[in-house]
Amino acid sequence: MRRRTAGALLALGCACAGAPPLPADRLAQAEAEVRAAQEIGAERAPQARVQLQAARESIDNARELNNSDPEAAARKLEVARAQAELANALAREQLARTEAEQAHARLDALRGGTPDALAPEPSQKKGGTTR
Amino acid sequence: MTWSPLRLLLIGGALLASCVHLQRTDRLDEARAAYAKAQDGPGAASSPADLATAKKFLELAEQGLDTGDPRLVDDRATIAILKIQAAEALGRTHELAAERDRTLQVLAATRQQLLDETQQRLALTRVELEKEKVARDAAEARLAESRAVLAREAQIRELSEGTVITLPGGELFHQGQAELLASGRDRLSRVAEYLKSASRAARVQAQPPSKGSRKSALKLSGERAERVRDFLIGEGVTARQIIAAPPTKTPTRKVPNSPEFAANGAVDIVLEPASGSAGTATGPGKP
Repeated sequence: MRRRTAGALLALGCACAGAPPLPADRLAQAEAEVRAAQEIGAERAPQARVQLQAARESIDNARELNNSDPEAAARKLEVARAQAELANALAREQLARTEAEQAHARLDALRGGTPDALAPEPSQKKGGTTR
Repeated sequence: MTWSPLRLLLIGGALLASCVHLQRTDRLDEARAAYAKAQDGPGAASSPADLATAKKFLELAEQGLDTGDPRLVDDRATIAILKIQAAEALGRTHELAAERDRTLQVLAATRQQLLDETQQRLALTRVELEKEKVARDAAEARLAESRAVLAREAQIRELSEGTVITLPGGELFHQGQAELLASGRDRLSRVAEYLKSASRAARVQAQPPSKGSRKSALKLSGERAERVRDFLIGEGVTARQIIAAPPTKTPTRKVPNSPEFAANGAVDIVLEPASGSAGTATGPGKP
């Protein structure tokens, strides 16, 4: 009887100890990518915003999944990181598109004879939208 | 232990099942198709390194088939798809940045061209202005000279109504007549030169002599003003520039109190102020 009780307590202890925590490095990388996407303005680009939200949800899913399937949870963090990277890339693309459109608009204005089109060009950082 | 045929069959089946590898998943197929498409897209040319990274993740997904775990394969395939999409987005970004740079180059060149053209026009305008200034200075010099010449034989006054040139009637006409004397023509020729230089609207107004019948004096003055105007037009003053104004019953400006004026009156040629509508005569009178 004592042996049975001890065995039961041991099993309970193992169960209470739970699953190992999410891999810290993968979690940090995923969260860093999410922050980077936010900083570049992914919230303002519709497609990027969708991916950014998906990345946040994937991180939440990983946390929930970690108890039952740590390996799957770790993979979810990889997915989250890739989603955040895509959000980042889409945000940069949107920025580049806006800059290209603005350049065209300025050229059209210049050719159309807009009075202030001959004003000095604002300093343009080339390659600012590419990494 | 004896192996019954049924038990052997079951064990054999289990072994066979474990040997059947996972061949594909829908997600993996999707990733393969996405990669094939991306190879012809902007990512292949503009961001080959990103696309190569995506390919490695696709290969990882394919290797995952060996585990027989479709969830693992799907997760890796999902990552591959995301990487492919990111590579494509970066490729488009490179293209857009290149397009922006090209446009900015054209913009700078166009702006420079317009600036050059504007500067050329400005330089031409300056030359024209300089020419005009030279011409204006010359005209002003001619005007001053002709005025100086005129001032030797006529009274010139600057009044509120304008510049008034007064010539004694006896120097232009025989007493009581409206035909110009030869000497009067010479004087009026110099008045004409001044009027042409001045380019200001003018009117001829004869002041009637104070002697004799008032009615006949007024009539004579009107005729004298007409003669003077006609002569000045003959000398090159434009008809638009000068009019003959009828005489007034009472003098509109100070008249000399002299026997000569009493006998012959005078002829005033009034140039409108320079700031007025230069070049076109206005006011009462016969154009």
